[in-house]
Amino acid sequence: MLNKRAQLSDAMTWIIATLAIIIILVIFVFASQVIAKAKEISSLKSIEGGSSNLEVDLIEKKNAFAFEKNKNNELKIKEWLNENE
Amino acid sequence: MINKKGTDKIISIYWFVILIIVAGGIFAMVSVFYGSPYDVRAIEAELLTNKIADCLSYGGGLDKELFIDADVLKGFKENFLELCKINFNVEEKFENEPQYYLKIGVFAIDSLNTPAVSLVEGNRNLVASCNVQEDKEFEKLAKCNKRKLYSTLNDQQYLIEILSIVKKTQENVK
Repeated sequence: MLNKRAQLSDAMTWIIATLAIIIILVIFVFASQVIAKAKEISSLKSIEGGSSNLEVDLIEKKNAFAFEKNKNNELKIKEWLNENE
Repeated sequence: MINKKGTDKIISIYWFVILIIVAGGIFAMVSVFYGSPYDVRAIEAELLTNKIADCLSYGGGLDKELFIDADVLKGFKENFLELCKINFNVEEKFENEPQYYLKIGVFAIDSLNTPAVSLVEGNRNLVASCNVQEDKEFEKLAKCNKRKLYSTLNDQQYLIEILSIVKKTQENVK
């Protein structure tokens, strides 16, 4: 009788260990699915400039060049450029 | 002694099963992570806008080659896309439904409500996606990028509005 109980408890240990492994794996698979959905490249700057602050937006650069050429109506133009629709 | 041999056999089979389960789990994790595509539509739209801006205006001045009359802003040439080295060709599966849309409006400084020259190319049905693109629920719709640019032509000042839209949902969203 005693021997049978010991065998049963031994088997239970293995079963629980197996279940723990399977549960951990399932959690990891689920987590990788969540991380996979969240992965994204947010903007061009993150590709081109990385963490560098030197990288300037191409359109901004073009606007600056145009203002160098002709500064008339600067305020009106800047207002239009910053206007969101 | 015989009984111990039997237990050892069962345990080694058990370890093999666990090994297979763990290997399967790791395989599942890797395939789930790398099987999910990067959503680059917003960046593609941004790139398209930058490409057009670069083509239209260089060094602060409008590109004279793109307009019929070099001195007066008359319009875009018929082969604008070709001149700007842009093509909307996509994979065969998308042949019936264009995946890009492009709208350019060039406004004279004294008339900001009506464009002096405008150009529209691509699938017009995609425009509707722009208003709801921030909504997570509608992430399968197209992504838009709208930018405004200032440029000059001789002494004239022009403001340019560029709207680029990229769909290609099948390849970017699962």
